[in-house]
Amino acid sequence: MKINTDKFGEIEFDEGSVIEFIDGLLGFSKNKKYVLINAQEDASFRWLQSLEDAALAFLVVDPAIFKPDYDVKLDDDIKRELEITSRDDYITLVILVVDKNPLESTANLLGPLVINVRNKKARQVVLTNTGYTTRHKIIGSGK
Amino acid sequence: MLVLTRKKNESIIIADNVEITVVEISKGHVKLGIKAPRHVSIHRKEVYDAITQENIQAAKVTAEDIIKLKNIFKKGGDGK
Repeated sequence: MKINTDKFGEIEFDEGSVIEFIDGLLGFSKNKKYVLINAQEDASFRWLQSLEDAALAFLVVDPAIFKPDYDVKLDDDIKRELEITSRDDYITLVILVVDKNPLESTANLLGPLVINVRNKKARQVVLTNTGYTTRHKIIGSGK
Repeated sequence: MLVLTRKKNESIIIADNVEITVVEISKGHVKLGIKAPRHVSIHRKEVYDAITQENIQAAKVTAEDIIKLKNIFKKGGDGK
């Protein structure tokens, strides 16, 4: 399948790789279908590109690269909704905001994206009682 | 905004399938119980707003921004 995107021009992807956010992302509830695109040759940063809005894409990253102890506990409702039965069923990504000063860039650890790698169902999960914030500095914070 | 007054244990029904009950009233706060279908998401507003705002900011990130960021990580930026 091919779509046009603002950032990457026309991109091609396999229909089976389309990720569906059941309720979209918070604030973007109408956009439910996305694909993950590698940012250049380095796969640790990726873009979550909307299939329904060529201009909408989020920079996402595996939180383990800057916070190896980041732990997302999924409650039973989420597991049921995304059909997750084991730890291998899903990946966690967090959305980045790159500041004018890139050293001040942050990741949203309060609202991570949980994606079932088998059926591609996903949700932006809101963590409670964890102390994680929406603006976790990804550089230089040590932990 | 529709404003209704409820006493402890009284409820409100929204759209046939969301029910909000006043579970407990204490000084300065109210404990609410919410029954809703599983597909209906429920959030504390300040958390919902914080995440929404951050998503909106994140949607503005450009392809150039990521180049700056990758360079820092390559230099072995101390985030590990």
